[in-house]
Amino acid sequence: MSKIELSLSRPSRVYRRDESIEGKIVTVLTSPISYQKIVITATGTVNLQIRAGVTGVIDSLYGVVKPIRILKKSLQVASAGKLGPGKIETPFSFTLSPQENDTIATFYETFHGGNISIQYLITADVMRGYLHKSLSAALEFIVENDRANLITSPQLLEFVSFYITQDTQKHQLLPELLTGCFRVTGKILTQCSLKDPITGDLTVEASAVPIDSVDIQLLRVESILAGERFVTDTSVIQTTQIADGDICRSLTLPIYVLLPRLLVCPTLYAGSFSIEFHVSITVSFQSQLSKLYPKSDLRTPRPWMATVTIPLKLYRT
Amino acid sequence: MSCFHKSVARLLTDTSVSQFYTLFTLVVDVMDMLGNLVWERIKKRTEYADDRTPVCSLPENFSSDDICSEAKETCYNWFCKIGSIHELVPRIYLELAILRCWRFLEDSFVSIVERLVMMMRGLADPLVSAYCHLYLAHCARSLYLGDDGYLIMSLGDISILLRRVLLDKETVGHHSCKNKYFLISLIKPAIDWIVKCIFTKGYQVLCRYLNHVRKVDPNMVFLGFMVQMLDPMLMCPVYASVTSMVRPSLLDYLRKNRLNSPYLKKSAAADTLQSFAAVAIIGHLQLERNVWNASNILVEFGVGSDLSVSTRKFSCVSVVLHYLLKHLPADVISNNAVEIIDFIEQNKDISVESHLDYRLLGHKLYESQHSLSSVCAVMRRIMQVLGQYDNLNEYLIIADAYLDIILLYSMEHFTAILDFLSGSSRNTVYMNILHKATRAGHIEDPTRVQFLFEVSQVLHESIDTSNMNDESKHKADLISRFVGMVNFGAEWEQHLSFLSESRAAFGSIDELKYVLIHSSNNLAIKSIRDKKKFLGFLKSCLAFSEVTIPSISDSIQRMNLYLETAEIALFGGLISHSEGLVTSAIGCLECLNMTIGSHSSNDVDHISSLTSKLCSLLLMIPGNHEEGCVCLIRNLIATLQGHSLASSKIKVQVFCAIISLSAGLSQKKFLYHAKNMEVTSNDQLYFGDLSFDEELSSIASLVFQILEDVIKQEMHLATRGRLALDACNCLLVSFKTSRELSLKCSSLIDIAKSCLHPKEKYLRSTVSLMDRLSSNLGDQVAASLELTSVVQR
Repeated sequence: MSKIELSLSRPSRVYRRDESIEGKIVTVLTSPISYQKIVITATGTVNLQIRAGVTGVIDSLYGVVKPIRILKKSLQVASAGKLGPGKIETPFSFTLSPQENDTIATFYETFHGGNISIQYLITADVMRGYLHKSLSAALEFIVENDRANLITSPQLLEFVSFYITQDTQKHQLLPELLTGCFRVTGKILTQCSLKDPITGDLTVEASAVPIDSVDIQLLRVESILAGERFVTDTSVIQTTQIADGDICRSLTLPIYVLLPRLLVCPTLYAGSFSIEFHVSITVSFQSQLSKLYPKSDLRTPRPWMATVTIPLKLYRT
Repeated sequence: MSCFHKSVARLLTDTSVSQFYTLFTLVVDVMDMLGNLVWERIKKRTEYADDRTPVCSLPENFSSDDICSEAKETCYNWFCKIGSIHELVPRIYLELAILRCWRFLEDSFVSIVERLVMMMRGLADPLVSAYCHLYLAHCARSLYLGDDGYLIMSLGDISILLRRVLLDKETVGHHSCKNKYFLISLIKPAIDWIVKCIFTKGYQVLCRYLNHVRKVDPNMVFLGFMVQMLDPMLMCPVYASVTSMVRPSLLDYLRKNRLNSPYLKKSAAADTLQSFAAVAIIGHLQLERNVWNASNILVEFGVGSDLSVSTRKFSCVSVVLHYLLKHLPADVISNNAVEIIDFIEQNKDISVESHLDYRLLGHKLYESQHSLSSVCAVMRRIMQVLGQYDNLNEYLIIADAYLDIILLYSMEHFTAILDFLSGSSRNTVYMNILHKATRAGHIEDPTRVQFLFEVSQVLHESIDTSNMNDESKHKADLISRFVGMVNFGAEWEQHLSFLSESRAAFGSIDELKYVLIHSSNNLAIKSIRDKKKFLGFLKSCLAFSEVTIPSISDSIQRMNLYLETAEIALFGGLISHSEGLVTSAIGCLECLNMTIGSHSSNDVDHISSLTSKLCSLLLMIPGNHEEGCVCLIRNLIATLQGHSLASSKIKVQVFCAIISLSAGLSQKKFLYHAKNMEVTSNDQLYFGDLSFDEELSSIASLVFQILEDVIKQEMHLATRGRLALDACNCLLVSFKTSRELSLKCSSLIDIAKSCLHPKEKYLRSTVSLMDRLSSNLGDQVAASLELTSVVQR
């Protein structure tokens, strides 16, 4: 049994541009093997795909849009030699920067979304000639940008006020909601650092119908240039309940949502794709009707719900 | 973090469970466990490197700068993970569980804790919210916060929810209007805890809180909870300020009640809760008697004033009255007892459970220990009231409360009760009376004894001897208990005559006789201790016992009691009495043996231990020259020998005991003596007397013969082997080692070997004992018999 593993010097595996990535190739062998060379390759790609249902049937036939390469870098760690039995560590190190002849200057941050994923990998290959299968291992590392490369971060916290009433809703509401009236107001931060939670507050000023729940949804909006036009898909990243039951009126509730790691990245507009984020606040009212749809998702407009969606700009500090 | 913790925390969203409190404690245990595990793990990440070598040790009061970035990373991951939980309740509980871990990330926690308090506003259910706040107060203590504003915020938020519960007619959360009482009582512990936390923080916080409350409308319920928490010793300087705030609202409340304001009609349920709070405040008043004149409150409430019929028509009046009775000092209540009774009477049609008020009144009267005359007036009123009750249960509850007073002061009112009752209800009352009366250690008062004796007589008549069911047994128990508790102090004669009276009156109860004999024996011992002219009384006690014992049907018990009495006779120096009693005990053994087959193994053990006791007693009884010094022993042997039905196990054990006894008798100085100067010990009488020694050897040889026969007759192999070993051990320890003894013992061991497995432990230990004894044959000098004489015969 032979085993090959990669390990990086930082347990978090987070690196920035122009930083040196240091690590080890760990081989555990039962018998000695000879090799021609050991090669480390770092790759970064943006994978784009258009899901069926989002666009027409024909568009989905095209399926995967050609992935965009951000980084490809190889270096030889060792030339022909022999690996003895037991545990052997072979160190390597390289700088996270584009190769001289490469034109791409931007490293997008690592992101795993529904249709778009930006991923960086390190691969180690122990080449053993034609007769033998080469040993290889791969490891994902995470790229974060430092603020210098980004859209300039806002100086002041910017709160946006919102209000939800029966008049702001575009979909059909329950008759008792229309006659009884409700008004939910609040404010929320729309420019938010990835390190910080989304904050704000919310007050139920009036509601004749008892409230069942108030939820905050974090949405991602992924757009991909397919042919002539952008195909946009919105999906839920995280749902956070902030009120459970018919809460007191005129009492201010805090909005406090921690951003999940990896599932978010700074808001990004690249030529052929873009990643944006929205926050939606949904108030569900108690209703007999809602019990008929126990698994109803919050994004479908239902007559017992009222929603407001606010764009959210994320940035790295 | 596992999904498990999330679902455990989710349990707390369901407040329809009636054991919410228990559930909460269980969940919190699990949460705390999780919190500790996470804390320890992150701490380890800082203190140890990846390869488990210790790097540093964190001081108790570390700051976030001391923490390495990896540990911080892990810690922040935990918070992220918890932050991604959808539902509010589990998210808050889990964050609270690891709240302590914020210490790894930050140095100031006030904003975090305040944010959590704010987040709890999202919990609409008052019960869930209150307990969440409680858990916060519990967890936040580990953060060493300088500022305690969060506790005040907590209380403020709970107070808002409470007001909502009180005023809303609709349901709040899962709780319907009916359950409001229950709901509030469940919320109470949570508030209590938070208030307690505030108070332990000291004076300034409390003052801040009071100022806060003053600004908002002081809520009676809330004040009630708060006042209950005040610790009078700790909070003396604050007390005045609290009471000055509470007092106006309480008086205002009481006045409103009296004037029947429209406010009361509006919401009866809310009012009940308010009164509940008022009551809590009242409950606390007795701590501050200078500030609050307790009787003023009664007057304020309307007790003793001119009552027009129209004023009070609300059930809350009786609730408040009930708590007034419960909490006001006993002397205030007993001073106003008659007025209070009037008051209850007038409100009777609307009050819910007036009998409970009467009961409380009774207890308070008993506490206050008033003079006879004033109590009598009250009792007369109570008897009138009692007469009007037609519900037996309520009647009994009231009567029960006054029983102590009646027992304490006078019997005259009991005749009223006796007349009123008949049949089974009377028996129940009587049983209750006896039960109450026998709670204390002993009963001394002669009139009381007389009364209870009569009660017992009535009860005794109702016992159906042919059918002893549980109730009858209970009655018999109560009567025996009562008789056992009677104690006339120095009046022994009177006590003894009471015992014989009891014997005459309750002859059919068997267990009572044990009590009688134990009591009379007790008296006898007391008289022996007293020394002065005890003999006459001792004799009458013994005579009483001697006469009573034969009427007991259980022979084992009879034998036991004979032996007990014989011992006392011996210690009193009455040797002939003692001999007589021992003879009777042997007689009992005779009766016993006839039915040996039907006895359980427990009884068999009992019998053999009793016989051993008999043998040990025989050692102390001085031999009688005329009848031969060992005639009692021979008597015993003859009795046992005569009964072929007796099991061989008993026989072997008893005969072994006799062998030990004969060995004991041959000693130069006995190990124990009768504790009486007049009883001469056998060792002083006989040691060195050749004829006595011969007598003993003849007994020993006789017994040995019998033993051999018995062992040989035993059919069951294993039993036979064991019995042989028993006998062998007895011989080995009783006699001086010699060749003859070894022969005897070897023959016994041969029997045992033929019956038992060779690896049997008992067998091996016996063999090794014999080997050890025979190896130092010659240099062993034991004060025991020569077996040679036995063998020669």
